Amino acid sequence: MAYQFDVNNNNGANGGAEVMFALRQLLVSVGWVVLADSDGTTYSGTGVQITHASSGANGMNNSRAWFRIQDPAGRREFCIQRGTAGNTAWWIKYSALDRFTTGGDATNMPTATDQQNVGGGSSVVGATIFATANTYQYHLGADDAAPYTFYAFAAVDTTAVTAGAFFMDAMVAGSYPAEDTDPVVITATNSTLTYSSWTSASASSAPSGWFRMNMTREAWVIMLGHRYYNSGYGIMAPSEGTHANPYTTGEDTLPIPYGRAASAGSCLGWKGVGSMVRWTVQDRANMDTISAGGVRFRVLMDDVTFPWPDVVPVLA
Amino acid sequence: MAYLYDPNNVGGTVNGGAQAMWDLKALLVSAGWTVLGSGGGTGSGLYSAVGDILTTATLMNVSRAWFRITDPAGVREFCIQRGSGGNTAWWIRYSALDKFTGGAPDEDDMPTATDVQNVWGTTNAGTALFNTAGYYKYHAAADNAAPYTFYLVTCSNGTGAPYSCFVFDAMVAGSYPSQDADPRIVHCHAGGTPLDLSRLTSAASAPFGWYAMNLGGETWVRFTGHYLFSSGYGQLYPNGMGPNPYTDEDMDFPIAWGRGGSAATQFGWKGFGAMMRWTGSDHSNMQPLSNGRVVFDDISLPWPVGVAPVR
Repeated sequence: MAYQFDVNNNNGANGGAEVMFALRQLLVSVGWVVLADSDGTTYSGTGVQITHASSGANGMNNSRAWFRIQDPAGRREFCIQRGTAGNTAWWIKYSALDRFTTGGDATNMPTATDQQNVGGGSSVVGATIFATANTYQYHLGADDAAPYTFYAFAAVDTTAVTAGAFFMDAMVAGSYPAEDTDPVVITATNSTLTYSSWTSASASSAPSGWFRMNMTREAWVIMLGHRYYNSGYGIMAPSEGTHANPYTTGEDTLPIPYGRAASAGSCLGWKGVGSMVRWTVQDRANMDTISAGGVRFRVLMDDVTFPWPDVVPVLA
Repeated sequence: MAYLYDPNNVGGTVNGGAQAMWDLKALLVSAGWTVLGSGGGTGSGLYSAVGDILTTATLMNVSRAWFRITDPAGVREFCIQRGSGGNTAWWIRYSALDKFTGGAPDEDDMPTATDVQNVWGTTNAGTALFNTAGYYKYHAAADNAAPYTFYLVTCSNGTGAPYSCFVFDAMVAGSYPSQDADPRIVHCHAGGTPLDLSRLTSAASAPFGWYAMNLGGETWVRFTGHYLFSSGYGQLYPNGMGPNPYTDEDMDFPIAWGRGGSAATQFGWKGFGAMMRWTGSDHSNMQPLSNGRVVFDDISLPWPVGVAPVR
């Protein structure tokens, strides 16, 4: 297993279309397959229509341009469409098992019987995921081995304030019920990646996932992250105080437990412990990196961390 | 790995806590621990520098009787003494690495270790760990494989409500910093609800463990457990999650131990506990769970299959 990265990209005039096109390219490089796409005018049933991030023929930055992409296991799929509202707005659909095999044309994505909207978009208008074009840096990572987790996030130039994020994380093996046929959570959000957004019951900021997929009472629901807290010494994670590893003085991260507690009212229960995105345990600036033995390996955004290559983050 | 059990014991009116502690000793020995020394208590004339002369619970029930016991790996040791204050009162000391090879042990004085720490009690008077004899049942278990965790819990007759405990738990492999020379916690408490959320998460009553052992700044401190909470759906663990959504069987979750931002010193992560686990749903005390464990306050502990808890 190894993460492949495409980080420190200076966003230009094509805004979110650059991010999504770069993500598509990165995913393909680690084994994902584009099965169909459209530049908003011309449809390709083999996924060869979009070849660049700009507008115009073969471009990603066209109203309703879209692509369908499948993970290397030939199982999970996403359909991702640039919204009519511009390159900040996207409609992202997810199929965990059934695949996007119905329909699809120049301006309409295909459908899947189990498809679910991710990140608030529910029509060709799209929902805002990314900040205004040419105002941020974006960073991508994708695992080339199962379970094929990936992330894309953007950070405003200089300040590194969150400017959009989209990721799929998988539960750590053994941490989730064996009967769960889709132990992943997915987020696409324009919100900050803080504890408050991660744990609020809002589909536009918190991760979502399947509850009892392919069983009775199955539902696509918000799967909240949970913090480690107690009355004695307060919050352990995320991001409170200074909790360096007491032995190495290096920095720890903690896995994020996902589930739905009693106050959710329905679909109650445990999802699992996330593998890729982890809570910070030290309150630091966005885009600070975490190192071990002088080698950078994670980066902070708000209250979470992502895998990171051993390079210096570029802020602007 | 297999837990050996000694559950559902009546806290007898004759030897009280001495019976429970003697039984724990016997259970630990059956799980591979070794008694390395013992004393028969004040006026007994009994002392062994190498073995166990406390062959009955009655011999254990003598003022200041004690034994030294080491784990099957020959690493971690406890010295346990019946207090002069009666068989409800005990002094329990722990040596993580250096062993109880010092001092001048005799019939009523325990040996010392350079890394000795009090787990319960501070003098040979002891501190009350057990309820009045005859008012409780006690339950014990010990893992016969590394990391050799064990527990002794007493529960009030009738309700089954935990009254006191002596728990030795380890961090799950891979969950703690590899430099931690003693990824263990020890928890003793008496007087009721020894294993509930407030007890295990309080800076005043949480389990003890070593912080940075054998390194600069090493300290014997309390490590608090943490519950899982979200502002959206509230408390997940303990007791807020419900059963496994797929099987409807009981679920639990390992307890995250550490010292968060409000601790004045010794910040940091300890690890995820192996034996004590938060309960997923709010159950009655001593209720057996479908995952082969039984409920004590807000946690569950391993329990023998097919054995009904006796309250």
